[in-house]
Amino acid sequence: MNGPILLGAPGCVTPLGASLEESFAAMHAGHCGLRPEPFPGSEAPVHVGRCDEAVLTGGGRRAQRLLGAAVRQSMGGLARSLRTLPRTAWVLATTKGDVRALEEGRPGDAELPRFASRAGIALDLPGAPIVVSNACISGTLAIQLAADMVRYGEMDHVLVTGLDEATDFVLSGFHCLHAIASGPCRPFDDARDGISLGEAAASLVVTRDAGLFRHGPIATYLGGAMGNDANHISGPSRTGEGLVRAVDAALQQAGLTAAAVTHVNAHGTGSVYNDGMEHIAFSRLGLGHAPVNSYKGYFGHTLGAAGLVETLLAVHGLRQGLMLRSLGATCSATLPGIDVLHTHRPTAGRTLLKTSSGFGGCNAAILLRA
Amino acid sequence: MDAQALKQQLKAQIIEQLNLEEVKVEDIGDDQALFGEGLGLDSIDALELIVLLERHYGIKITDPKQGQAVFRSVNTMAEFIQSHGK
Amino acid sequence: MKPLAHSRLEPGVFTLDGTPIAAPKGTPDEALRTCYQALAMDYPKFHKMDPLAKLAVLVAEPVLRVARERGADLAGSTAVLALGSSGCLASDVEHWRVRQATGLASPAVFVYTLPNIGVGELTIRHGMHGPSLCLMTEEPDTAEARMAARLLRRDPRVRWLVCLWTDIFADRFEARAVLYGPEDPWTDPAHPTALFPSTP
Repeated sequence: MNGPILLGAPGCVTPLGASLEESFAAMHAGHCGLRPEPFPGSEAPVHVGRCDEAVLTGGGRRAQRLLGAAVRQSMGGLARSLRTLPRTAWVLATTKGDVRALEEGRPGDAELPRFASRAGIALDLPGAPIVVSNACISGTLAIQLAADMVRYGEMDHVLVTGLDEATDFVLSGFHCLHAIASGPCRPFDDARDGISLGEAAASLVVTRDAGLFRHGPIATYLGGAMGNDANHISGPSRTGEGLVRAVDAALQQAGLTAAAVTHVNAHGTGSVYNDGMEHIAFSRLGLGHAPVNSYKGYFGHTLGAAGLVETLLAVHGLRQGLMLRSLGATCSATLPGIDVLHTHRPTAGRTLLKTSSGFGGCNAAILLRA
Repeated sequence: MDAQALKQQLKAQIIEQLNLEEVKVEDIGDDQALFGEGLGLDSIDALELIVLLERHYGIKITDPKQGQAVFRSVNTMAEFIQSHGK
Repeated sequence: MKPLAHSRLEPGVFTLDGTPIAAPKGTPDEALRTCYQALAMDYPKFHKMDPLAKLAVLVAEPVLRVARERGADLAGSTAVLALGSSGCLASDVEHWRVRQATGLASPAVFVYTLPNIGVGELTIRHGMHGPSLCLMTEEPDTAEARMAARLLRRDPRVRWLVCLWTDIFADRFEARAVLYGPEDPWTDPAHPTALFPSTP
């Protein structure tokens, strides 16, 4: 089958809602899903974005229930069952999967292939899981991988899912790195002082078959690529090298120039260095004209799920002609040359650049038309 | 503990905590720069040194920027411990 | 389709294309140190890495030396596919042990609690900016892994491909690395039949 590569059947659970529509509406209304909670080892409370337990229906481990809540929405958005379709794959993007099993003394159950196999059987997902665990770019990279499978004829349909929980395992780690913000994180703000952690699950389907979607596709995939900083395992590049290379290659695959991009949904963690790196990269790429935001001020950094859930939200906004403000960013005077969204803004164009950057010096970029 | 013994102890703890396998206590000068051109430590090492101070000396550094001055050399670390230690 | 170079690292075995480089004996820590010394790497950062990153950097070193000799552009046109089953479980367990024992976590341990950090260390050591992908699989040579390799080779920037299988936990460790070059055809979905050669 030829024709454009399509994305559709979105599903997600975030700290702000049990669906894409609910989450977006809460963000549009200016709600923040980050709540202060006491943290062992820290004198000050930390702000965390947690999903409402009430939406986690079904059986099994909490991580699996979170994933299931998103996947069921995607399944409901399909005209045919993925289980009946040949040449169909399932991708899971996650950094820590069910790391709670390790916290509870069963490290073997925390191994990602084992967790994914069990969840796939329980949730009746197609095929052997393809588990992408590439730090905080996992979600964006999973979309790129799925689109490449379809582009090069390896698969006809791909269910792309992403999941990460806010656990003590991860919180204590970022805390010891002195990486956690003193309040709710403030991406792209001059007073930003760290990240906030969140949790989410998200899913979508990639195919060329528009008829598969009960409500039609939500976006066309234009191109995507990955690039490495080759600089430091936990500190972003001072020059934005890996991100520049990823965006350049993504534009090349899409046959576009930077001028064609109408909106950038960035990684924007709220850490001084990450957001500064993105500022440098976007400036180098000539993206100064494209309004930039980050959603992490709304519900935190959802790690391996971040690229996926943020892509869905950005597309959802563009389909309504809307770009949301980057919550927490009130002043971006020290980031000259890029257009950080301090208020919600209407958009005429629908060409989205979504970027993610992660530990290990990895960067991913995808281009979509909503 | 006298200053010289503290510095020797610090050097051993730095080598152990930071896995500096190819470095010996006598290789680290009291006033040698720990970061950059000196011993070549990086940002993760700096955070590890903050944990070292808390674990072994009960001193909390909450702002990593404060660490930059404290961790300039073994001398500055020893002075900091002696003026803040419990 | 045959790889241009193939290395193997497991208890008692460290070879390049079947030729011994070292005979790693003892605990995983001792064995990996033996390999490091045999390669004369002079890379003090190695000692700060976690077991998974050490394994990845060591097993890739000989095949990347071959890549350099053959004129590969490691900076721009070499991709890395990293595969593993246990991933960073050793560091995960250590991070959680320290957290439980002391109430504090260790920054130098926590930064290795992601399975792609070994690839990160590899890209830093060799200055590689090309694409990489870290997949968690039960086995080294699955259909999904071979598909991922074909897709990485489809990236228009990529001419050289390094595939790694690295698995280490407790006292077991096993690693393979292969180098594929620009002349190999990668458009046939039936190829490669195996990423890692079965013979040593």
